[in-house]
Amino acid sequence: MASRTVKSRKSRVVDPGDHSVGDGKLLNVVGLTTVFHANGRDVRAVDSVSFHLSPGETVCIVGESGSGKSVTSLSIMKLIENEGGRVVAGSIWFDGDDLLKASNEEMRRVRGRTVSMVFQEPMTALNPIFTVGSQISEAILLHTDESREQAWNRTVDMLRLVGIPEPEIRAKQYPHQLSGGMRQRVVVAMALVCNPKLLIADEPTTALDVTIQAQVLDLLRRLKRDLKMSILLITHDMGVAAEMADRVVVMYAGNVIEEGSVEEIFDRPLHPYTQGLLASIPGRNGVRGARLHAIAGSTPALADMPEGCRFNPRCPFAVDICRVEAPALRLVDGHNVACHRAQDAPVVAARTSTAQ
Amino acid sequence: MRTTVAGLMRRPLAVVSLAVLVAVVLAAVTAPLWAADPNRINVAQRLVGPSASHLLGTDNFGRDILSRVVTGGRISMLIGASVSLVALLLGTVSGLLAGYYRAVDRTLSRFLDGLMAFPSFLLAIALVGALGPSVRSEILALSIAYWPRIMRVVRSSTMQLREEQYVEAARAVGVRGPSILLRHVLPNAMAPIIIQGTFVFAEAVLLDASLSFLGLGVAPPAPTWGNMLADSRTYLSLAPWFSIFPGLAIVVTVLALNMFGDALRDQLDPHSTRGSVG
Repeated sequence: MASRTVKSRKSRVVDPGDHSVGDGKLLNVVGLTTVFHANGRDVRAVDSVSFHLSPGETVCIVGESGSGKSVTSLSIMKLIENEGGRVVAGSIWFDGDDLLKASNEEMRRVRGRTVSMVFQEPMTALNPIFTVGSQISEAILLHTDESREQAWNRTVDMLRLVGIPEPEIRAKQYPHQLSGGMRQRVVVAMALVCNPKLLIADEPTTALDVTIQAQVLDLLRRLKRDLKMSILLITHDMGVAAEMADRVVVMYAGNVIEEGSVEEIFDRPLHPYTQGLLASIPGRNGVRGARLHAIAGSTPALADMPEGCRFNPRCPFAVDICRVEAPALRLVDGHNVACHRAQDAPVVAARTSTAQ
Repeated sequence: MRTTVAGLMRRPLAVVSLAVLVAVVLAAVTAPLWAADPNRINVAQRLVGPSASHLLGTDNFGRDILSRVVTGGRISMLIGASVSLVALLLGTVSGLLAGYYRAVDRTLSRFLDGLMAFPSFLLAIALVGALGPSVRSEILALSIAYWPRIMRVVRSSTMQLREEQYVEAARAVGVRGPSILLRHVLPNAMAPIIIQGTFVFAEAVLLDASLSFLGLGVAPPAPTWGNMLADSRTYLSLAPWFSIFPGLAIVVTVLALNMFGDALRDQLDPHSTRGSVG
């Protein structure tokens, strides 16, 4: 066993310095660490997270609740301070600038203009007392010199683009007069009206029913192509990731534990957690009527992280080193994984049984 | 807004209290046009009971009580309205800032907590005592006394609203802090602010009467409901109308304001259980 460990550690450790500025990446998050202050001490909600995103690419961050997905996205937008969090380390390179060093005013100009965000709940993401059109126009008026009429015309065009019938009439309606799917289209329109380079979508379809979900995902795909933007999609739904992503970043308890192309992750998952996630998709390769696979245990509390690999208490393959030393993200077999045992026989065997 | 007005009109209590308030305000505003000079002394007509020439009787200097009550009402209404406006303005601005910016909250809220430790009546007495009796200093004193109360209400609404996703969405499209507060938070917090305003109006009228009863309010001979009550105490058994009518004016006005505030709250607050009644 000792020899195996040595062997795995010989593999190349991913150095955050690898992702230097301006090598064709649109977004490059390096060593991002975000803490929340609770009960007199700082707890790390996101710990040394690194990933990147190229122009025109869709990257999905997947993980269960509490894995740090949303904190990561809010940290990129620098909105995390409003939630009581604080970025204590790392850098977020966007288009050659470190957003973490940007002033509030610079950041305000980035938000909605070059980086936009779509939130989870279309029911509450729109202000109930303004017409949807005026909320979309607000974003235009903030970031351009356009007149109110020009902004209004663009608002109507944008509503048409996101597939809202009779946009002239809908623009003058209030959120409560629109259905959930419509509202999410409005939210998407609001995010995209200034033609951003990057759209961060935080669980954009979670609150929608399956039919509408598919429509919104189609819409995002179409708009991404037409408007030539990149998408950072946060989701807990492996199905959504499989459908949308070029690359997948798997997060667990504030760490990136696996990262690779969508084919790599779905066909050859290396981390036991990713394997578990894939195995728990209903109907993926299971027999009808068979018990659904579940990963034992639950995500550890932020304030009570296990020593070593954070997944070790739940991992069926955990050995001594997993309980002592936190594994670094390293390149194994074509994609990055943070697991001491990624190349060990039982884990390798498990990946063939979970992958299709 | 239109539905709010229509809903209020279906509540009998709201209609009655509003009618009373309109009557009180109208009487106060138009008093100089029809009422006798409230300060004209007529020694021959001291403490005369209600009659055709003096509908509500006269006081110990033979002054007409009706015209003194409506003229006193002018001052009470002026003070009540000004205090609720100034206190709403102070409370809303500070409440929005404290509810939205944690740093402001830490300093300003502690200061106002300190202010709240004094009962508003004692605080008002101390402030009027320090500023000297005048309408302006009374308005200032009462506004400061009611400021923390409104600030608390606005602050808690703001803290609730700042977590709303549409506020976060507004931040995410790059809206500045002040416009978030004015465009996205304040309009959604208007209902409790307006309701507090009516209650502060009522209490300011009452507190103004108390202050002038104690001789701290507007200086005599200008009539106020409070100093009329104070003057009438000696003659309570001899000339009860002297006490009854200014007292009635206070009761009716304050009751109407409170009832209207209640109706407004029932109408505007969807969580109120009494909301469906009336």
